[in-house]
Amino acid sequence: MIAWTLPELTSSLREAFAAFLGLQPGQIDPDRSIKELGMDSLTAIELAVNIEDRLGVSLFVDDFSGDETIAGLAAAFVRDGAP
Amino acid sequence: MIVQVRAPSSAQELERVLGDPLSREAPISFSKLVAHDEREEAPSEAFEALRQWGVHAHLVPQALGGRLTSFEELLALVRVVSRRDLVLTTGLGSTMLAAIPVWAWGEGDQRRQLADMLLNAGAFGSFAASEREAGSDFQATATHADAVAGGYLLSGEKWLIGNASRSSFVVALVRTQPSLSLLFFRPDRLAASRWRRLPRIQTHGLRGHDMGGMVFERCPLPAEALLGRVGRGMEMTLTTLLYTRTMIGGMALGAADTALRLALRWARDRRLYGEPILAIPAVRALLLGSFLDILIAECIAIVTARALTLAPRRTSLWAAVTKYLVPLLSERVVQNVSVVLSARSYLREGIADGIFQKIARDISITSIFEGTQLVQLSLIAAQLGQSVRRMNRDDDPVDLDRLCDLGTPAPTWDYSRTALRIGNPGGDELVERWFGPESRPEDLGADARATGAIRALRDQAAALRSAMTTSNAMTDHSLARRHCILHAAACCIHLWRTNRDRLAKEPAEGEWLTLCLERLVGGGESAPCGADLTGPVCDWMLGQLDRNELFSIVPMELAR
Repeated sequence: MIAWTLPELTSSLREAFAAFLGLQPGQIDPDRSIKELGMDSLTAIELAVNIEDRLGVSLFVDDFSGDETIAGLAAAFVRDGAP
Repeated sequence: MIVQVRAPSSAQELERVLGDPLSREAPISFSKLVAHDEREEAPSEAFEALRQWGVHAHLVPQALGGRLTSFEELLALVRVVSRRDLVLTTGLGSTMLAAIPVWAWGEGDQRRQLADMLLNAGAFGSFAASEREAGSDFQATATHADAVAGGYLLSGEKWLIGNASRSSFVVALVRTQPSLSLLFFRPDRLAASRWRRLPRIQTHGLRGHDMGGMVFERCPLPAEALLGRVGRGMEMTLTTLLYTRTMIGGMALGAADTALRLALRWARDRRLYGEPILAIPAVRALLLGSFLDILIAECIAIVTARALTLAPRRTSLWAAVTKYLVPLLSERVVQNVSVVLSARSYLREGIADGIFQKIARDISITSIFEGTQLVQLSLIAAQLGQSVRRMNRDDDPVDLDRLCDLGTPAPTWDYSRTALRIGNPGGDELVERWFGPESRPEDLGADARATGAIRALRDQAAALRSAMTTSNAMTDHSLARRHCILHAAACCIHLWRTNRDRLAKEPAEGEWLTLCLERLVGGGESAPCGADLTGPVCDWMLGQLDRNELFSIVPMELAR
């Protein structure tokens, strides 16, 4: 598995969210909640699939509240290897 | 030379082999089906007739030795069986539901094992997702598979599971670390002391269906039971449901066909006030409206079934629309028929050996299982919200003419690359094509009444677009319902326009299309009007009855 640094993973996740939502990475604020970014439970699953396939990072969790942020997810993954 | 579009030959052959269900001597007869229903037992000789014909091969992809090609063909087969008994298609449908994830995500050995069980033993399968406390909320799944050396220990209860007491293979949605996964296993290979099947659950309809449950208590499973990748259970489940939801459209259509057939025969034979009741304007309107509802429902289901291999990225939305609207329309057909049959609809004997009351009970399952109406509307609302928020268009637009070209069968399913998406359809090109800001109602080249109906629907679409941006589209189901109506209208228009040269004379003329569009303008409830259009469509409907054809824009001769 790739050892991610926090800035690398945050940047990659921003790119993945941006591609998914049809936005530029610069338009994705890593400190806004994923709900505010326009994700719902279905698109969260689809995006998680997308990110696992592209980046090898598994964001699959069963208790997404929608309040998570890209910065928070990236930090948890780098720290624990899981969100 | 243009060849007229016909039903797939496999469906025609199956129809012939199964015989006329009105005949008590047929391999599958209404008389025997009602008797089984009365005794709450499975119609075993009907399942055997299907097995002997080789119906299970149609659940196995061609590349694995079976005869499953496209879902368009499977839809036609589902209609043939469902016009006889939904218990049969529910048993086979649960099997298909469990088989799809094995084809799509299984390893070579898992796929081979399953192909062998279906092709050589005509096995039943169970898709064990639902639980007593979880309902529609898969994330609440409590059954858990704890990783141990060499595999898993499975614990928990699965409840409201199809084929629960007779399944030879099971695909179960279970909690693993860090998320839900699917496990594929054979009950006959489990430690008998660590699991049991629950007693049969009693139901309102489908009384011959094997509905039950399973309980596991630290039941050992090998590591090879895992299907696909760990943690991807939700993705696989939600994707699998897109196939089966579409096929449920075929189940509802099959049941509605039989109901309307019985009602039309009755309406011509039954004389009141000195003439057949078909001559009573209110009765005629109910029956003609039911015929239109079947045609609308058929157009929706055919488009989604073709889309599963021609426009897979759109089917997250379209399968939900199909699952919402086709059962709704088909159940309304059955309600209209019960009005026409009046007291006879309530009898467990008489017309066609009393099959109607069974259909009326059985069909209500179609709007419940595989996600209720509320679930479908939530899915539709969420996806419409997504497409409004998305700034860019999908870079892989759908070729609508190819999608709707019934002269070219839909391509064979590539099971190793489903290309389905879960919650992000990238728009509804059919609705945009006919009712979007750039659309031109006169493109259809139809009569003034049809063009007028398209203009009215176009206005409704504009109002819907504006409502989507101002209100909370995610939670407002009335917006989702309005989208479904527009999608249905667009399916009817585009199928007719693409195939009018290849359709039989009556559907090619297009009066039915005008009446269907006007019915949809009125939210799907308004009665057909204007003798210049209702006359020819009524003649076509009665012609299909007399020629013993399925009620359809694509004729199929029924068994005699």
